[in-house]
Amino acid sequence: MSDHTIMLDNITFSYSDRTDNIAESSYVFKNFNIEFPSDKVSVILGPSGCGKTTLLNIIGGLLSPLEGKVSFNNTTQTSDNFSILFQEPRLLPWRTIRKNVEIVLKSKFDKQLRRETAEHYLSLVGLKDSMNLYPSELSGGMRQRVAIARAFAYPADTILMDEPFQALDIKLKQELRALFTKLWVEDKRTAILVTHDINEAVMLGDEIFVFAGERPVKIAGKFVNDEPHMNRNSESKKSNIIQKKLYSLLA
Amino acid sequence: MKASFSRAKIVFISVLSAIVFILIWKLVSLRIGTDIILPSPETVLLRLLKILISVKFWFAVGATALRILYGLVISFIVGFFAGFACGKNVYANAILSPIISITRTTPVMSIILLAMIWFKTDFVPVFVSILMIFPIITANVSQGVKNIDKRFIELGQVYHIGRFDFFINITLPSIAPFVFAGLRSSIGLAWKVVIAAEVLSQPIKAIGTNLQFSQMNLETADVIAWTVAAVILGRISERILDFVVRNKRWESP
Repeated sequence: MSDHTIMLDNITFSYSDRTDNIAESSYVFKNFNIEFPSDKVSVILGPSGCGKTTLLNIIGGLLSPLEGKVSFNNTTQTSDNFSILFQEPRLLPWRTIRKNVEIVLKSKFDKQLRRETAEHYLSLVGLKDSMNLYPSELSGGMRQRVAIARAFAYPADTILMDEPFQALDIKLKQELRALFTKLWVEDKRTAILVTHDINEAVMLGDEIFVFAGERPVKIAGKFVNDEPHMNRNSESKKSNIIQKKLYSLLA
Repeated sequence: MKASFSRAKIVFISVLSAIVFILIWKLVSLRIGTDIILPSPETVLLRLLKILISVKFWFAVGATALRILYGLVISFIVGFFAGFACGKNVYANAILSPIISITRTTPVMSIILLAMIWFKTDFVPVFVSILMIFPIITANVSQGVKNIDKRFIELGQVYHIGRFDFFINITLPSIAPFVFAGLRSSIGLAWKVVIAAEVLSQPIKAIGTNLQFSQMNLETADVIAWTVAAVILGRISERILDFVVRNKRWESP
């Protein structure tokens, strides 16, 4: 298996247009370094507005850092091969859910393979019978399942997730987390999940980076959860220990 | 709207309003007492029926409808490209916006009179309708292009959706409601403008020419009958567009 490590090297970023003499606190990142291990789920945990989404957008190439670079596979080669799970499902309302998945595969597969891939992943998320429906005909949870199918169907080494379970109720949240885990365990990729939900971080993360709510961003702590994904539950001793530490760090 | 206003009730009120209008018309025409000033509703209805069975009417309707169709199609094509350029590019917008604002505020009659100097009578109404309608389509398309959801643009970037696929799957469906809103408001205007231009330019086969002819002969009932026909045709063409657009999916996400 090839290495899909993602390294951020000396990243400096600010939303301000000015580059000279700006206050230290207007930098979101200043000479920031972080490394996300290959084929693991890394979680960035922190309060709202702490710069989590900004970091994800820098990795995904939607924002460019003022200084520093993002490198992939331990080389300087840049990658532009990502799936993203957004905060909302972000489906095209005028296309069926099958088409919604097929559209992102256009640059990758031929027609036949697009169809098969879309059907395969939609079946995996339990939407085999709804493939010809439009997003407006689905519930919120079903729509986010389509988004998960789309993210996994796209042949990227990396999945970036921007609080994709945030808007759902607790039951759906658990259901979709379990679904994500199921897909991920079968088809491991480097995943980076941004969240402010401590329980979610412990349930899904192999490595958990805690961002404190300060500018520029500093990593306030790093935790490793080596329990196998399928065995995890909120009651386990290991989870409890990490959760307690996270609470005390973020409180 | 409150549930108590049922659809049947609304229709009933509308019909009642129309009946009251016709009753007032009848009363006023009785009071005036001469058909040259204001013919009674039933005289107009009889004239209308007489016109409807004449060959002249259908030729005139065909010719006028064709001019409107030409006008709409050409405006649509010009407006689509101009609007797209304006929505995408600041410079295109800067170049086109004075032209559009000038045509928007120029009196229709000035355009008709100039067009009569420049073109053959048959083309004058088409030209005038293009000048009146393409700015509307341009503005709507440009608005639509500017309103493409940024989140879908991001989606296209992340998943490397190609230019052509992006255009077909995101741009077109995003601007479609704006384009159709523009067309919808243009159709009624097209009927009015084309007929006005026909009244002045006098093509051989045209609703406007017939209106003008009836007026010159003081056939007031005919003027109203032709007008009623034009109104009905305008409504029908709007309904046809609504039918075409119906059941299309472009509700917001």
